[in-house]
Amino acid sequence: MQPTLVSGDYVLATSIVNNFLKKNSLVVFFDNTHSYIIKRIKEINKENLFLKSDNLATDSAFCQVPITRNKPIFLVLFIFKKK
Amino acid sequence: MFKINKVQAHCDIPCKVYDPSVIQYSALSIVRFIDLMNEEINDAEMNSSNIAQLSRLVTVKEQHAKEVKNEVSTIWGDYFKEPQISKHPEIHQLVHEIMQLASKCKQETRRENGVELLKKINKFTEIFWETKGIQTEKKYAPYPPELVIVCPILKSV
Repeated sequence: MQPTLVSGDYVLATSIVNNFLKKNSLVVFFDNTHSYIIKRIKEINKENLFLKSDNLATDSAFCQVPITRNKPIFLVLFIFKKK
Repeated sequence: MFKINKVQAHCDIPCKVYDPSVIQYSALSIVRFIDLMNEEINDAEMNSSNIAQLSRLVTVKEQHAKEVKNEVSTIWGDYFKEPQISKHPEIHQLVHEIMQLASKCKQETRRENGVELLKKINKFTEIFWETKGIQTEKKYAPYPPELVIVCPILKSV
């Protein structure tokens, strides 16, 4: 997610404000294999999120398939840079 | 009471280096080894030396058939994603046919199987380069069995 986030940065995220999810929001969700994942919303509809990464040099399987909204999605409220 | 979880910006290994030429090379090798096997059987009386050579040819032919299956499944499974698949929905059927033919090439010694496998791989190669916006052309392989292969038209230096 560079340049937005680099390793060691902190984010504050909550799932309470799920209704406020919108295009370009930073979100965190849980994947059984990879644990917590952070991405940006590319498109959104009632059922699914379509994600993208800020780092255009990388490719992720999570940006290729829709993420269903029936699991907890955490909206990033603040980013705390490590320095 | 307050827990900080670690999150990651997952990315696949972003090497993006995929090239079906190794699959074409393997298919050409299969045909070549079948030709050599037939030459070995036709030209010589069977002695221990011929049998050993035949055994080697069979083994390497089967290795190349496995190589075809490995490489095709890697490109199909890792490179082809929703945008490429929706543009070429026939890719699943084509890959399945390649898998079946590669198995036949492993099990049998019929040259037609190898030639048919190469034709399917050429189609796969055409689709692959098309998804990358690179034109292709058909050329004769510069070594035996000198069959037609699909090559990308690359930028000159």
